[in-house]
Amino acid sequence: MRVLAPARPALVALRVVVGVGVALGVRVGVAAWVGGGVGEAGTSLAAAGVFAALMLAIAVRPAGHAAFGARRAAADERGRPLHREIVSGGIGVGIAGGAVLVVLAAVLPRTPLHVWPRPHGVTVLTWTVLVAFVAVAEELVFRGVLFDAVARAAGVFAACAVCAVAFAIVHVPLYGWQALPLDIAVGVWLGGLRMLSGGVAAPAVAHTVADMGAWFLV
Amino acid sequence: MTQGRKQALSALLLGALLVVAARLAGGRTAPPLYDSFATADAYRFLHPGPGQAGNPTSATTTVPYTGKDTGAQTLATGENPPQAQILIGADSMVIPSGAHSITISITPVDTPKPAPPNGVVAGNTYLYRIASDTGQAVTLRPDHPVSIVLRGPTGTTQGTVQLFDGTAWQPQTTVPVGGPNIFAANTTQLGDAALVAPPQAAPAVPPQAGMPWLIWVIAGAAVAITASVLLWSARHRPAGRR
Repeated sequence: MRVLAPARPALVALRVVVGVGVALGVRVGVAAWVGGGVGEAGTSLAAAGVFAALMLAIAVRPAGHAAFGARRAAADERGRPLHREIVSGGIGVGIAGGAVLVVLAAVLPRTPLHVWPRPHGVTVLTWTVLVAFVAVAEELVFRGVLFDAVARAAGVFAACAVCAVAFAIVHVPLYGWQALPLDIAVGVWLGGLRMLSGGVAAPAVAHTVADMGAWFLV
Repeated sequence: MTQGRKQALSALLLGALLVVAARLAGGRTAPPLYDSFATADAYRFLHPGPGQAGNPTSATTTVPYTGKDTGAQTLATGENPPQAQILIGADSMVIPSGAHSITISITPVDTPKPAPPNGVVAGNTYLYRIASDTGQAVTLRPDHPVSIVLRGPTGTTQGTVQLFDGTAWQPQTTVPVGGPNIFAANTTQLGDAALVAPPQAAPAVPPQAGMPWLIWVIAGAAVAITASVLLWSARHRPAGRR
């Protein structure tokens, strides 16, 4: 698998970690300001939107080639247009990967209690857009920029592990420590999709599909 | 199969196993799928103050009884997420003989006096009740506690579920259950229950409540930042990557 990464991976990784920390702090702050408490960070739509925008700002430039670089290389080798390579590879793998996460969540034991707000009415549209926005932004950072930087320095398995842990830690202020093991596990799964597809499109689609599944499972 | 594909499949297998293990080991109150953010309904108060929502909902269900255990039962009020819930495991109730059905209900009620001495009631007091159609009481088995779950108003970061025993409030061992402002306790007694917050942690009306325009301003700023970054990125992309 080809890994396209910047020349100074440690600096990039450090920049990403600091940037994600700032973005998370802003998210919690906005949630506290708008929603009435730090505990609202996981449910504040406005805070999620600001967080996703900041994450996109962290990721967008170096992630451009992380997202599509390997796909572009594969497309060149096979003589196929880039968009077809992305659709046939990343999106297909992503949909399948997301479906697996939804099925696992549906069939495995979970609390019958309703402990999370369920999007409904007019908020469904806003929620849907924001879920996709946040999921893609997170994947551009974790399975895009950070993955490439760590893979360059220490290999793809290390990248998969580091990104999974970082991904999980970012969710602790939102959902508490009890979510950490599950989020690490999902991070490893998404890292596997990144390794399998060669780009960030697959984990981004899988993450979005999995989050959408929450609508039916909350 | 290429080395890269083998590595990817190994990571996927490991990830799937970890997801299963995390779910089975106790991830039951974790978010269903990792990012379930949605805005909770405003808390509905039985006696709303200025700027507060009113008309909290009740919940009632009637379960037929044929002499066999009625199985696990859950009941929740209608808010999003519910303000009061009960989870009754299988074989938890002692149902009087002769009964043909039982009715489980959760109703917001006035907080009985005296007030809890060690805090303030966060939100409403709810009456949890199970009754048989014969009018005889349905009791809970001492070794099969039920879970009662209460949501407090926004900003209820700490709280203890307390039950009123007719003369005083009795604190129950309470745990937060994942969702914001939501706490649960196991009990073998039902009756009036409330979430009691320490005085210093009592929720207040958020200063920005009633300012929905603020959300749109922030959302607009987020879109503007995103558009600016994308535009900037497109204009400064290195020539070799076009």
